[in-house]
Amino acid sequence: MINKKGMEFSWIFAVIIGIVILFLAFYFVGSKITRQDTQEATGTVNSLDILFNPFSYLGAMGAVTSKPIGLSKESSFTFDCDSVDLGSNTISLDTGVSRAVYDKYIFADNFRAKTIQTLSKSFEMPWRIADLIYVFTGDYCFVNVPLDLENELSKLEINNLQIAESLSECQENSTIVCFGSSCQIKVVSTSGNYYQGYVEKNGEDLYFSGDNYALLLGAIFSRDKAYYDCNVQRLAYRLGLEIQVYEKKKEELIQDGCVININLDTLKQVDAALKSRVNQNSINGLYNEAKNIENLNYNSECPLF
Amino acid sequence: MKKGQMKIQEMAFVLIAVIILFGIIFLFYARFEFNKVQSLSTELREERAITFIRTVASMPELRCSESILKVSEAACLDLDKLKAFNSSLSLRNSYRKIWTSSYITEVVVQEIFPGNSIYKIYDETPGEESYFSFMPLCSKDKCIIARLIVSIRLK
Repeated sequence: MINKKGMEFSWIFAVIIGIVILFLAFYFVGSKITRQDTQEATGTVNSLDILFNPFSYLGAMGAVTSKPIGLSKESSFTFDCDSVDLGSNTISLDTGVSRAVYDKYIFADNFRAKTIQTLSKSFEMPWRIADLIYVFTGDYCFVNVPLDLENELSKLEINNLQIAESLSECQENSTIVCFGSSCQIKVVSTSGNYYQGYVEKNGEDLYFSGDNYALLLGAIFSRDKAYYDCNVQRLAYRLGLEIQVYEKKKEELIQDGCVININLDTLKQVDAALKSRVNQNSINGLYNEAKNIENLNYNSECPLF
Repeated sequence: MKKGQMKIQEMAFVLIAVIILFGIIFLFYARFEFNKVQSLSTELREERAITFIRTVASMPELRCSESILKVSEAACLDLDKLKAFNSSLSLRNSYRKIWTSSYITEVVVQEIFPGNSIYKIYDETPGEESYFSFMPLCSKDKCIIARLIVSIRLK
């Protein structure tokens, strides 16, 4: 009888211990796999941030490489924007890992890809405020591009960016961007030379200005109007900070005996207007004042920038 | 004590010993994994700091304006802009998020020759590891040699 009871107990004991050991083994393996995924995702997101660093200081239209950048594995990326103060762009992976970058202005759509194409262009208003980074996947076809922009883009020889003279030349499945005519993404000029205007995309108007097409390209590659406007507001905030730097520099130069007739107050006002609301008026206001200051600076004995 | 009880007790002791053994192995493994993750994190921070030196040197807030060297994209730092940062704590703090998000604790420019002035761009605390690059530091009429130092927090 005792033996039978002892046997029953030993069986129950062995089963319980077995369950505990199996549970621990599964838990350990499961958590190890999850941790490895998180570790890889963290590495990918951080590497992408580091990879974008060279694109953020080129200062002119440039591609560190015109070849696409390969990632370690196919991943889904989403981009978010926050415009409070300096603001940030948040790069997130589908695994939930994300990284906020405060020094970069990334104009991109959400995508799932293993290779990405990246370009960079400086945003000057009137001086270089920051370098904008454009990230895209898939093929793009630009139809009737202004000649100076066509020359810039052609030099880069990007395989998935086709320059065409008519819609029929565009490859199938490419995202078509038309300058002056209607298609998927329509670029409308309000100044006759595409220095001022808007990009019509998914029923939304994304306003741009600037004579080096930096914001125009930003509008084309941005996910939507909210994301684009947020980045423009971040740039306006950055300009506000740079105005402070140039005001102090102006004081230094005046102390050194320079005569400077550049007043940055109006620039500050139009910048504040753009920071509070992005529309055709605010963006054109900044452009016009920037051109005005650029001329004053060019003719100044002591240039500020 | 009965023979059956003895066997159960033996088994219990063996199991306890096995669990302790696995526990010790797990602790070693966890320590190994932790060190691996930490070294990956340090590596990423170092990589970021190194690429960041160029980013900092090319920031429009610090970089020479075209008017100084009469060429576009002059690779030098503007002395007057550095003075603006050095004299304004609020301006330095406005860029805090850029530095802290990259674990940067200090960004300074130190004159090397002639002179030895130091210009603060950001100074939270002295970092655990510093990286530097020599840069020309220019004003309206002259250039001197300086060192751009970026310090980072490793842990």
